[in-house]
Amino acid sequence: MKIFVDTNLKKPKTFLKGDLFVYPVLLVLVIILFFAFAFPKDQNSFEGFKCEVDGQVVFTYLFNSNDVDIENSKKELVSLQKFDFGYLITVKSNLGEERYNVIKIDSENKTACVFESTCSNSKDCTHIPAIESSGAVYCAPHKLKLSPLGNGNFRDPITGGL
Amino acid sequence: MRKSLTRKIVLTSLLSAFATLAFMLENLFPPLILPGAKMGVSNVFILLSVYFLGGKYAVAVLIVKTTLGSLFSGNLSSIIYSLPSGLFALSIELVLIYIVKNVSIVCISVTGAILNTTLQNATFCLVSSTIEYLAYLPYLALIGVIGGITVGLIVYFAVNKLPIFNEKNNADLNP
Repeated sequence: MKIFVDTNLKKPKTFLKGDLFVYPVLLVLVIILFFAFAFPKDQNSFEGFKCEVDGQVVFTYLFNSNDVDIENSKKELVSLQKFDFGYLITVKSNLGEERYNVIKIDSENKTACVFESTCSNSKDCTHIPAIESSGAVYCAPHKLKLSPLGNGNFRDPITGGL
Repeated sequence: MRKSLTRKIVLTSLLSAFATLAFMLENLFPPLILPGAKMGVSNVFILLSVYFLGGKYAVAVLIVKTTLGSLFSGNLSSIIYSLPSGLFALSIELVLIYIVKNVSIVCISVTGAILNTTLQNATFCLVSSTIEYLAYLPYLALIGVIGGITVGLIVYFAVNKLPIFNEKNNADLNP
């Protein structure tokens, strides 16, 4: 008497003939993803980093000048600390007191990451690997976006503008 | 008939509860390498519900898991990108199980994992207008492969080896 199983499905196996048709499809899919989205690093047009909150630029950082340029209207929200490795920049969120992201810019290695955040329990944005000339850090609760700054049109994977 | 329906309802709610619990426990751990990348242990219970109850019930378990899971983790907005991708991945898994047939559980699980993570990431990019985040998509797909294999093997062992699902033992349970 079957007590648990209400379906006529066969017991699962670890390998069946049909797999031979599905795995190649998956392999092709992953390869396509790599070609489409894992961009080669373009060092030439890579000039610095940009930080936006809710679509508005808060500050930009350029390697040439090694300086952080804070937007005038956002000065109250941003505080800067300079270190040997680069900068620690605290960006307060306008969602409430005690809500902020600390962004770390490493000027030697040309990387940037979210170092600390009070956005949620899981703090996803702090776990995103430091960005270089590709990738981005997005902190969904604070709508904060940290992205590389490029010359003119930075690579746009959707339109394939290389 | 009535008895069978009660049993199905009880089993569906049990599997939903386990799936939600697994989902929430997994959220407590820091993500593997990238945010959004995880093993997807809760999918074990969704695949189990396909095998024990059928596709319709698995969809119910998935919806309960995603809704309650995001509600309890305090990030309700994550439903926007986790539910549609989950439903799409499950429907492809059901097509493989019921229509294509002859496909192993590991393969089914890997397919589901890849589709789920990539779609979820793509939806996230569209919703948050963070196109740059698509750069992580291929790596998420690769982590999905590892998670998919693990989940597939767990389901395989659960259905085939656990004594509770063994028909001999079930005969004793049934008065």
